[in-house]
Amino acid sequence: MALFNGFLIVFFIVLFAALIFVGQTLRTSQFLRRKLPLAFCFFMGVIIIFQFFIPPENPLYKEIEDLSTKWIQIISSFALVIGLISLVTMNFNKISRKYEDWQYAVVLLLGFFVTTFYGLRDGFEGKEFDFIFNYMYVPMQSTMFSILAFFVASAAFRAFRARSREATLLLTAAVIVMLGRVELGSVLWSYIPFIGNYFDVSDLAQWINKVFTTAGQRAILLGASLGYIAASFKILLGIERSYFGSEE
Amino acid sequence: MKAFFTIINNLDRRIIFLAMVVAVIWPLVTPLALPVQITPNTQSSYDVIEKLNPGDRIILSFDYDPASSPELQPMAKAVMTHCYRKDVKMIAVALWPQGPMMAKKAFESLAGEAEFSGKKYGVDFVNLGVQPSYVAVVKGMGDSIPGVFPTDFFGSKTTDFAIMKGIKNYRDVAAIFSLTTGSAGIGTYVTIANAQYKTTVTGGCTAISSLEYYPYLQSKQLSGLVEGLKGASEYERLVKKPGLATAGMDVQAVVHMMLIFFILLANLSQAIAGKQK
Amino acid sequence: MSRLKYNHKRSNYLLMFVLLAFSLLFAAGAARATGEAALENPQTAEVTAAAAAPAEPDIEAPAELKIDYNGSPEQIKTLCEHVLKARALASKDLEETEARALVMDSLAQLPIEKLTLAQVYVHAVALGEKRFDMSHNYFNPKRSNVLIAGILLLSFIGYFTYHARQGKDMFIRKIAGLSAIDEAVGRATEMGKPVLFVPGIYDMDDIQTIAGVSILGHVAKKTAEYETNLLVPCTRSLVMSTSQEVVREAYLKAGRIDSFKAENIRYLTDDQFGYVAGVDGIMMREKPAANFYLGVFFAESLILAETGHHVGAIQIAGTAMVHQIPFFVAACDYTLIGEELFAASAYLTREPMQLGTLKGQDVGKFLIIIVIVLGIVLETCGITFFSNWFITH
Repeated sequence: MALFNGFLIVFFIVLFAALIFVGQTLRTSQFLRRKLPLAFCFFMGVIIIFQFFIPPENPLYKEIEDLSTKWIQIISSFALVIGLISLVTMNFNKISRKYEDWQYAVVLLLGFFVTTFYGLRDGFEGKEFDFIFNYMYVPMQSTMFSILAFFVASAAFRAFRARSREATLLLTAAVIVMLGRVELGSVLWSYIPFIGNYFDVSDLAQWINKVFTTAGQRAILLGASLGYIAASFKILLGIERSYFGSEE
Repeated sequence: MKAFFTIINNLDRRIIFLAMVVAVIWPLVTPLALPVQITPNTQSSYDVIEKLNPGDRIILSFDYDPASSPELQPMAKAVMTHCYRKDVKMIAVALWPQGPMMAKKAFESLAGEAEFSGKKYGVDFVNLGVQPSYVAVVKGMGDSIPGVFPTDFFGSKTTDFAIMKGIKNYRDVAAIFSLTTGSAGIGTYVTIANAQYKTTVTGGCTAISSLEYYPYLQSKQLSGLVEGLKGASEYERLVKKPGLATAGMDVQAVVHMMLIFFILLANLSQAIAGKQK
Repeated sequence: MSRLKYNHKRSNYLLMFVLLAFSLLFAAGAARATGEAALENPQTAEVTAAAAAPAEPDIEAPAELKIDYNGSPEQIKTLCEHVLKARALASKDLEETEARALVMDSLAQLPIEKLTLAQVYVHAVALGEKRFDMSHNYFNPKRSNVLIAGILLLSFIGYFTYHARQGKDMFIRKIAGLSAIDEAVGRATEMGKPVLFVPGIYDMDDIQTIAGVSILGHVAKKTAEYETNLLVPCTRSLVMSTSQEVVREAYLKAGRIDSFKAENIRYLTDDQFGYVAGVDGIMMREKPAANFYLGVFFAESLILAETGHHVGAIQIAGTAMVHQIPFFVAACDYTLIGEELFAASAYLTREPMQLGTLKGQDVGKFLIIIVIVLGIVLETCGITFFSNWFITH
């Protein structure tokens, strides 16, 4: 196992080093820009597929899992650095060149540096970090999420109109589910003559959810999953290359 | 009349927003005290914990962030209240980066209540924090929980806590209760902890994602589901401790009615004044 | 030209097969190394086996099993349940019949006098460990259903890809959302406003993001041709790097590399709602005339789409997140539902190989429909082996 592990580590290090040094000098090389990443993608894909079919008791299973998890973590950490460099330089530029609304960039950078400072200094137990989390981060996140309530209202007002037969069905189902999700709906429903006493609206709403919505969702999921598999296959075999920017 | 409906047809969205504000604030100021009916899904979830013996340990997974806290934080508190009263010990873990902070908040807010003043961190509750790559975390706990979480959220050694004595993996916990908002959570626990390790999995989620878990309920891989704010209010009723979810349900009732009113109004105005411009 | 292209692809495949052989070689080498390591220490291996078999020190029976065995079916059922939950057997994913066989075999092997349930349990678990020991196997037979289904689907895709390469015409139905891309970019150009592209909130490891970025290439080609500003705010830095590369390439191909602005493709934050706030801010300030939301979306879908509607943009969305599709349908002009997002690349490029995979996928779907109908009929008749075969372990 150590051999396998050791080999992969050396393999990746050599590859990354080669990529960085040679990549700088030969930026236009077709091999480095196309074939090598494709081969890399194929190699890792095959390993992960291979792992899926190994029994979990086999030590190799855990080895591959541990190794891939570690590499994902390492790569994501580097990716975060790329993101941060982009964020900071972009906003510094905005301030130094006095672009429109540059004041917001100051707020952003201030927030970034202050939070990082307290987070690094005291960890999760620091009073200042706690203050930033509880009294700034939480309310701001909740605010953004709450906007959803307002937007649901305006979208419902605009979209739920009986323009066609399908739209009418959608609208009726929406109203029933909305009624069924609250007790007030059941109370109001009971006043409707005949059907009001016959069954409860929450049962009807539950039935719509359980039968129609779940069935529809499963159909979409099946189609999407097939799409997933086919797309993965295309990516593994290099048929799909447009995400390298080499389409057509 | 037609002119009126033409105006309604092209109603400024800010008027709808204003109506929304009123619909949210009004029931908070004057509670409607609407009855709460317990749905079977919430009842099953409650029963999972109700059937546990004092001293049993459960994994309480905080798989959400502050954005979903209006729905899931009251739920977490109701479940924790239930566990405290039954003397069920809680091992809090998280699959979301902000989860441990939510666990910390819930623990601190309950610690302030006289009823639970005797409950101690490390004995009745422990916050093991978060580890990256959630699938690997859930899989890893099947092998060793202290292995995945060597220290708690605050850096103390996990195995030193009284609550963790004798805990190796899923075999040693009575159930898993996951509070879920996105892809990491109930689905992960069902497909790994329940399917591979036969551990009882139950949980609560935001109302929007509840439909995703219905197939698991039907296949009985998931034992009960507390759905959104409504589920949380039902759980509060079951533990006889009305809180924010119960108050929130009044708001939800009024908001739903208002939405239905607006939808009907929109359709009426469309029928009378013609299509929207 | 086509011959040249063909050769180029073949060399690609050659490289891949070399790598596949390489990876298999290493897997085999590593496996041999493990085997050798085990062989080098035969004594230790024997000692462990000897210690495990008679005394079974690591198998501990649950307290409720410390009662005498009386042969009742209830006791056997309890035993089976405990064996299924046994820690040592957890990863083996046993079925009920297998657990029952273990219990029955243990009962046959143990002396019947003064037998406790705990003894049977310990014996059955030890037996299970030996019987289902797959630590030296390289194939999990419980996953053969996935393998067969996978091979079937891939062979359909392979077959149609081959036929497509032979020049067979493939029909693809019109997807309104994708046909509207050019119209949307054209509209933005006429109005002199930018185009906004949101590639979702997941990283490059999600196929939906890759599908989104593929469409970005096409959008970028159009914006390069029309010389319209293209804004791509990203929530993951890897998506940002990839998007920059894709857009740069598209501008290069269109001969407009001087209009390419790397700073327009920027990283905002990894935080979901922080990102939404950022994108909403961009929309309110820049007032884009065409918005694209293609990738993975959660609660932010409606917040983005409603703000986009408010600024008057023509909006095209696409995701496979089932619970967000309704929001996009309600608030956007066009929505690519589930698989349509993955079909985008084939639809836009019309490359025969891509169209072939699409066709293969459709045949796979047809097969699934047949399987579902057959499953319903058999299950209704009480025949369960068919549906049981499909359970993934």
